[in-house]
Amino acid sequence: MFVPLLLVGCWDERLYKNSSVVSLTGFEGEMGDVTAYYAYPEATTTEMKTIIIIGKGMSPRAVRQNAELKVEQTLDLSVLSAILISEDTAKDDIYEYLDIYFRDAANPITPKVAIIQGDLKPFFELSEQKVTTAGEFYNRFITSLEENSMVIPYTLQTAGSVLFEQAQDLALPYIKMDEDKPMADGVALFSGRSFTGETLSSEQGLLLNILNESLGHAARITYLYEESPVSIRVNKSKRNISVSEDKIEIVQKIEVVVTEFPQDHLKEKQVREKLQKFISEKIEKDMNEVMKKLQEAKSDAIGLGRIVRAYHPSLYKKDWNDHFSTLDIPIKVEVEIVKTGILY
Amino acid sequence: MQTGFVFTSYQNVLIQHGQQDSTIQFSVIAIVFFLQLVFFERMHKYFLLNRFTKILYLIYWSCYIIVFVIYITYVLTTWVFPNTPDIVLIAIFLSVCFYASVSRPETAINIGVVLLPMLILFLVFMFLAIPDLHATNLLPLFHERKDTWMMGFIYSTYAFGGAEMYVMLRKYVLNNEKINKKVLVIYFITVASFYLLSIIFTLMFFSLEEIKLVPEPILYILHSLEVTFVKRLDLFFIYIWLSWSLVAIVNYVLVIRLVYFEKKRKAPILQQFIFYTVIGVISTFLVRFSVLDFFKVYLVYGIILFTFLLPIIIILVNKIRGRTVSEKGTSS
Repeated sequence: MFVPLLLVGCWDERLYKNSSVVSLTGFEGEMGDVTAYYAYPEATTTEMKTIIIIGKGMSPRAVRQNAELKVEQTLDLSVLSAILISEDTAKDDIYEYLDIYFRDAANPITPKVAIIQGDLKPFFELSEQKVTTAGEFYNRFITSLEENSMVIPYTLQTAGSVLFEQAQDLALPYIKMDEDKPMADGVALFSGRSFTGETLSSEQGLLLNILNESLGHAARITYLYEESPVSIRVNKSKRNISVSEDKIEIVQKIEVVVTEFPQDHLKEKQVREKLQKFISEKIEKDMNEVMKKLQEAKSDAIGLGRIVRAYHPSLYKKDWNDHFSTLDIPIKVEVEIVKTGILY
Repeated sequence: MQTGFVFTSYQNVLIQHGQQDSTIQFSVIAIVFFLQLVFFERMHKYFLLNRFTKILYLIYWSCYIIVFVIYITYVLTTWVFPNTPDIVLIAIFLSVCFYASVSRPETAINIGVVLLPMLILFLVFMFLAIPDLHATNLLPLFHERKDTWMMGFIYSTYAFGGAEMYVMLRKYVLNNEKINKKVLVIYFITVASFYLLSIIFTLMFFSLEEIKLVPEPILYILHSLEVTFVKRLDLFFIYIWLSWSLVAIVNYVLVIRLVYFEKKRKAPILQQFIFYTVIGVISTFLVRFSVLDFFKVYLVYGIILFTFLLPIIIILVNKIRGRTVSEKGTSS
């Protein structure tokens, strides 16, 4: 019964030693004139270095064919860890560039995806100096952002799924080069299958994650309170959504842990309530700004459309992006301090 | 028999037509299937095949096996062995089936039991996808039905193809004894839940537009999971599914053997060899996307006829005529 297992040793044998195992890829340009970068590790007797291959062509598949002409071994994308897309390219229909990754069963569909500000080349050249593989570096970089709740966690597959979902839009990590080092610069907002050109800052990205109920291991916010810092970590958050004809009201209940408050004395109810009120108002103001940006970009990144379609189908419109941008969506925030650390 | 062929793909056609209502449509058909099982259990003594119906069933099962083999080969070449020639895959696959078929009948039946733990393993893998599921995808129900909404009921029957084997094999299992209703209920709940779970997972994992593009949703869900102990979970499942499919084919051939030779020969090796060779040759020529697409749309009508309608007609006609199995011994 398990005889077919042995077949992998015949026609479909693929040995790593015969392949250039690409861990990071990226593309820029437009359909018809695409440039793609492939980074793969090459081990010598003394060190392991990253080789960058550039291919040009009319489509992502043609680009890969072109890149194959420049390597002594076949490019193998079976351990691909990250895909970087130039922001100008992402303004097109992004699925057109991703189709080849979904279509071939040998390709993994779990790599991280990010939108890059400016040229891709410096991001790849940087990986030449890394000890780990280039893809692994960017994969860990994005995973770290997700764990700190700066960006919504997406893989290639989950991102691709949202591209086909009319009731939700994509929000991918937005990375820029800062003094020769990659730096997260917030969240790139999509409307339908295209990048809108609008981004949220990293702080706004965190609030987006609270609204989307996709918090990572840590979500920390800092404000200045009476000229003294107050930092909180979001312990738990729950949103209640009520939908009417032209209005969606969101009540966001957030339980927080105070992680920095030099003024102390949180044992006193009056101090605590005053601080809770201050944080609630601050977060509420910031969240409403985030929502305003989402609506301006026609980007329902928190999937309100899914809820309206499921529970209020008569209010759901096919052109959800346009409809979403016209709705009145006030957000009310109720913060409760549930822990204060080992000090009051 | 019911877990092999269609399990990886029927969600695609069903959800395309029934959309969110697929879960309800499937549940309705599942209840019909249960009632039919109860009917079969009560009336199985009237299930006698005459020469004409026997030929009809033999042709149907042979075609079913051919489609089965074509689909298995197509999936294997798409997901696992893109460079291996079809003929090699078919030859190896059918050789194993042939070996199991010429062994004692119990061998074919028991292999299925051995594979049961695999089922639990598969479910564990599927549950790893829970963080990526969207419960809101299951709703709204009965809203903006498509023109082809009714086809959802039709395609739900895919899950119960092969149920005619119950009434075919019933007389060989327990002679003049009733099967406990509790056993039937447990069997029904197990099969129906297994299929319903696959529909629910598919609906919650993919958007409706996306499902149209994914012919094997269950494999795709497993493909999208990242675990530390294996690079590709989908391959793991394909081997499990391959084993189920193999058992299903062997069981079909066993029934063909029982119906065609009426137990007169113990193990007709040469005839079975010829049968498998013919199946292999035909399948080799038909492994292509267009053929599979055709069968994916139309095979379900064969299932409705041969699994649901014809057995009922045969039983009713024999009941009116007063003919029972006991009058003809255990031969059909």
